[in-house]
Amino acid sequence: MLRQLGWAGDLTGEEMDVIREVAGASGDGSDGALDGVNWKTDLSGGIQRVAIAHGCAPFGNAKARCEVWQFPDPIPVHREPLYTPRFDLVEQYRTYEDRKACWRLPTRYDSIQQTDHSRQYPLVFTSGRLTEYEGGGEETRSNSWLAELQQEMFVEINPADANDRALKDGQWVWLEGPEGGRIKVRAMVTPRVGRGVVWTPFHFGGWFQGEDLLDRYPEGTAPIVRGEACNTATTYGYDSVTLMQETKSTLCEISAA
Amino acid sequence: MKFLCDAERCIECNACVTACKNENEVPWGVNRRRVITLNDGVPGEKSISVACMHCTDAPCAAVCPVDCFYTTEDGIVLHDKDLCIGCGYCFYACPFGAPQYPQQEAFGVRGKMDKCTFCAGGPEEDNSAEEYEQLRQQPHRRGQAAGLRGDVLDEGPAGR
Repeated sequence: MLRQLGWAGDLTGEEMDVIREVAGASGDGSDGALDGVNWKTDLSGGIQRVAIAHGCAPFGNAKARCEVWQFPDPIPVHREPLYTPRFDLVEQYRTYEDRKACWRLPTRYDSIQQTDHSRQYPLVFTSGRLTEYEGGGEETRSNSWLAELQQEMFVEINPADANDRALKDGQWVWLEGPEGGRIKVRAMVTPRVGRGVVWTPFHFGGWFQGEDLLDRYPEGTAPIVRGEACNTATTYGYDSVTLMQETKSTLCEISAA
Repeated sequence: MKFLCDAERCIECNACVTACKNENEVPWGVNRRRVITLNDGVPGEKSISVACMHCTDAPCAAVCPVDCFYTTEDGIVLHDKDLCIGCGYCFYACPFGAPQYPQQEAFGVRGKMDKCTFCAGGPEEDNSAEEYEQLRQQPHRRGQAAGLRGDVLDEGPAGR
């Protein structure tokens, strides 16, 4: 492109060397291959520099690259979650080793991943948002107009998985996680989730393992709608840098209540 | 005047339902506007927001045993809540399920029927036809509430 615009001569010798090297790596080194190097793949940054010098802004689908030396993985790599449905991948995509002190707390990784829970808890369990509610849900579940739109905690389960467990739409079910947390929710049998995956909203609270804790709330403070908190059934796991909990990828099993 | 909802754009966010409830302060269980979703979760999923369609030849008005319905010159179908006996006939007749009732008791006691009034607003909601005639000299009361307009394409929750 720079050649078409007549600006290719503005590239310095070093930049041309890098471009030739990038082209050589992917092409056969002929002049045609040089044209295959664009501003995104040009490691010297020369194409960008020349374009900007001429008052043009390179644009398009670029990929940001960064290497963070201080992170445990300087460039991100895939590691299987601690509770994974594919135990066969653990060997190849192992997680970190246990840490004696991660911000002064002992934090486990590898020792948890070594146990295969996928037979007993075969369903991938993740959680997400509802349009009607926000965050932890106490405020929006106290709003009568929003509460009327989503009145119960539920779990979305694929029709094939529901069939395997003899579950009907609207039935009460126990959702149990590998660490023993169980929640009692309604089953929503829907093709919205794929086979092998279940989904719950995370906005509910006020129930604990099947029991409505309405009497624990001070007078007049209970939200209109209460339900199980999904994280009662999610599991241990912390991000290697931010310590964010790994509640979005874990396992569970669902059975009729 | 009619509501038109663009089914291609509706994402079932229920913002229209919430706005309508907020504006008209109807009780729990009464929903003047609802969002209906077809083919949920499969390709070809469509949602549409439905309230009273203010039919030109309204079936609700046709079946009412106490004749409490009247149509304004804009085409809005309103009813007089003082005359309504809560029999439920208009609900059976309506193909959209627009009439809503606040109670569900023995022997079919339903309370006064409530439905979308196109935000005709204020006292016009349950007036008699004569009172409506008197009060309609205040045109600013109409259509001001939720910002919904019926004479242009209602672009679902994303528009307006």
